[in-house]
Amino acid sequence: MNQTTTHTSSTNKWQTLFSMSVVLTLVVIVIHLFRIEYLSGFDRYFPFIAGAIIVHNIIPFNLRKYAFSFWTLLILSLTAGPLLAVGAFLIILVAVSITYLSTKIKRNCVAAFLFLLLIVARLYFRNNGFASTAIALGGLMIMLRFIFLLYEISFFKIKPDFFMRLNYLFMLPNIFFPLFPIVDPVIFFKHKEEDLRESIENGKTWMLRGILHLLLYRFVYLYFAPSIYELKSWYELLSFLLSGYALILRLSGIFCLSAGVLSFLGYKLPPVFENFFLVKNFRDLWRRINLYWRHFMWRVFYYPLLFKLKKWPQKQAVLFTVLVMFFVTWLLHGWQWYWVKGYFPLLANDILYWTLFGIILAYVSIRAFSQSKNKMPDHPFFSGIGIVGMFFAMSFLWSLWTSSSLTEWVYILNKFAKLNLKEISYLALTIIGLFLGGGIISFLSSKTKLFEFFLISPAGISRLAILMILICVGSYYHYGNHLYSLPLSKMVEPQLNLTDRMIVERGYYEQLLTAPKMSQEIQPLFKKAEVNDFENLAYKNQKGLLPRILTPDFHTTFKGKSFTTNSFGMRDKEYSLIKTNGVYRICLLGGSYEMGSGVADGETYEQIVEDSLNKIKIPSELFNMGVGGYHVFQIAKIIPSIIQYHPEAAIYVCHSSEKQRMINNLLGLVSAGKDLEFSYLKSIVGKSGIVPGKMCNVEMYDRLTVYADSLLKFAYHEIASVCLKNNIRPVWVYFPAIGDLREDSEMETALRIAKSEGFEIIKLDIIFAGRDVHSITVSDEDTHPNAKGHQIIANALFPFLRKMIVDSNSILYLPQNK
Amino acid sequence: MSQDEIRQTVRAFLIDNIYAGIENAELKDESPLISTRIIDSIVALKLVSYLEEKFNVEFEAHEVDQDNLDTINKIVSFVQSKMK
Repeated sequence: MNQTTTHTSSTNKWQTLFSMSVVLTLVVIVIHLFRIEYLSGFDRYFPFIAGAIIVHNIIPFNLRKYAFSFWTLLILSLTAGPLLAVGAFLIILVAVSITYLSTKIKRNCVAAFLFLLLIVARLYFRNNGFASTAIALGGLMIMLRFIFLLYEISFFKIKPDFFMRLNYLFMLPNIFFPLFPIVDPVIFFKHKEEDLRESIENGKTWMLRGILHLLLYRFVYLYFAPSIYELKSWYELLSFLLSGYALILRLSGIFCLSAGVLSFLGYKLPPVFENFFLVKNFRDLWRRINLYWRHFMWRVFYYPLLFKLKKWPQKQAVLFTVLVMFFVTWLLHGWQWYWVKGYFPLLANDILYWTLFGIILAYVSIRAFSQSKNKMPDHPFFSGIGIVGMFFAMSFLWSLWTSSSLTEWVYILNKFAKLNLKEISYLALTIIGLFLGGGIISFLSSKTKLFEFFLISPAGISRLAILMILICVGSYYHYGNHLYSLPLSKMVEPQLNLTDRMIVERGYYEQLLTAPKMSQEIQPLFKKAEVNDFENLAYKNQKGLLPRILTPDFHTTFKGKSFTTNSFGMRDKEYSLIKTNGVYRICLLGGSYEMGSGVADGETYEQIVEDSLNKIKIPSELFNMGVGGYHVFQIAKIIPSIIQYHPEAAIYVCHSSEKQRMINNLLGLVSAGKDLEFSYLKSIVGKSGIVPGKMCNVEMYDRLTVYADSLLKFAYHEIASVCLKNNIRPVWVYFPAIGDLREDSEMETALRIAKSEGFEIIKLDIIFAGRDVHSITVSDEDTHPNAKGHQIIANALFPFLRKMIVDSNSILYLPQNK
Repeated sequence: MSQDEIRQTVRAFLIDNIYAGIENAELKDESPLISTRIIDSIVALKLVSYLEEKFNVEFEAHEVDQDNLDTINKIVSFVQSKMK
């Protein structure tokens, strides 16, 4: 009988493990197709995590606690390298040993010393990649959970053993999601052999919820959230306000994925968020949003402080405690960012946000404390109105919190005041409509079961069905042809939206990390770009309009590729200054694409085209004058220098959003206090009235944008006139930036101005259509074209240049047929 | 004080004070209160003050948690253990 039971239970276990493998395979496919959290590398490493989960569930339960930290160490070694993983692991081991000290005072003092040591080490080793990353990783893992563990360890009736403590501090999700919240150690240590089916069900629910939240976030981020640089109409302003708060979906999505991984590993965790968009008032908010954080604050700060103030009148004690708690919340948010970024963000809008939030919650707490009787629920209609009202209130506060600065927030809000009467009427009617809509939906949902369908948690089979649907949709978009003609293609080929792209590009131009409040989307990207794009040893920084030049006769490795300059300071082979008879010489002018950021010597499209022309017996020399960070003003500055090379033609290469990039470039120069050199530029900047340091970037951008057409015309005129005066053919070539494949509304204006200034035109606007973006870019974080991308550009450009050289009288306005 | 008397006192307090509004019959002795967020931090605090005053017991800060206050039964057991 016993043997039969054991056999049945063993068969069931293998059947359940098979189900788990199927579910995990589906999740792996969905995460791969939609590139979920690709910037942290989660999509690439999730197959390994899934493998670890399956093995973890195969091994006997009593051995699993030894395996948990091993998986973290293994995955960390794969992602960051074994040395870094061991470095971070050692920090965790020290933290675990501290929890074994005999008294609370000893534990807290030694822990404080460890934190102090790590803070100093993080600062000291800021420029040492290895040490800095290891300390940051270790610090991120213990920054909050260690505090929670130190607090709770005194109260455990049964003390957790060494491995349980280690597992608590060294959690796998933290590798990809450093801000994964503080799991309650009491709940974590309750880990026991649960029904495997329950683990799968929980894991599946969490993962699916996380994926759906992240896809919804991506949709809002890419298709709905307007750029702060393009806020003009009432609709854009309202979308800006409302979409900002909707982006909390990213946070909830990440937390759900993390909880999903832990559930699959057998940990039964409570929800982190509870229908947070259905919050009815501020008291309700505290009960639904980031519940782990709330619980941590309650346990470690709120109740201990309140109990210490027992002799105070209760209302005063509550008021004081809530205000202190919000101060601590602000401090701990800065504490988290210290480990992520390496500095404590001290921002006026951040402080104001937490102060306002603290005051509101203190008021709500006091009011609730005074309420003696049970308050009956509101009428459903008013509940609905409350939900919409809270969404507006949170959106308002969130817009303050996520702004780059207080001046930027005030400037953007001020745009509401500048709307005309008609626009204000539309805005008011829309807001009233939203409130009434919320009330009516809430009322109807109380009278009918219809809406429950959307709110109830879907059963297991529906989750599988949703995964299958996502796989079908993802495959269609992922592997379908002509991706860019499909409106939702960006859901599987995520890119930065305009606001984030501007921040990254400004950083690129300025070489300054001046953006203290980057969105979570670009945090990892910017960190990597910062390392990659600025660390070219061939760059020599300059004081004037040219941010940098290339050192002549220099050889280095840039982004892992050979990078050599010739005696003219060009990323090119050596040429003679004196031109050989019969050779057609072209100077190619542009930025990092032309320079070949991320490809090896000889792989640039300039070199490929030159080789191809010479191969078909068209003797030609293309001088690559591209330098990273150069845009139209830098080209206007260097254009006279091309005369010495006696070229027949000069090609200026324009990419997506020409005017935006130009303004961004100018803004970077002005903010960095560079000499603009051209009196016209100085006069425009003077006329615009911009004051760096006193005005926010958005305001300065808006003020300069008024002059965008004139500025572009000026720069194009400078380039073309120098060329035409010296019998050099000015050629304007356009192809889009791979990282910005939205429809380029500025191309036609730039083209028109270029034509009017006498440029010949080569328009290659659809050369990347139908291509898998990731196969033609340097990496996920670096959207410069790779060798394959350069080959595509060369293939497209080659016939036009051949024609230009062979038929020197041809007019090259040859838009491609779609 | 008997277990039933403590239970009735706790129940009466909760019916009067818990946030969402709930009828006496709906509130079972095993209904989760903290984990379902029927009791929030304010009500928990009021409950603790009430219990301290009513039964002359003293709570520690770390005792205000799910293990002790999540259901009426747990509250009753905890108060009883404190009264011993």
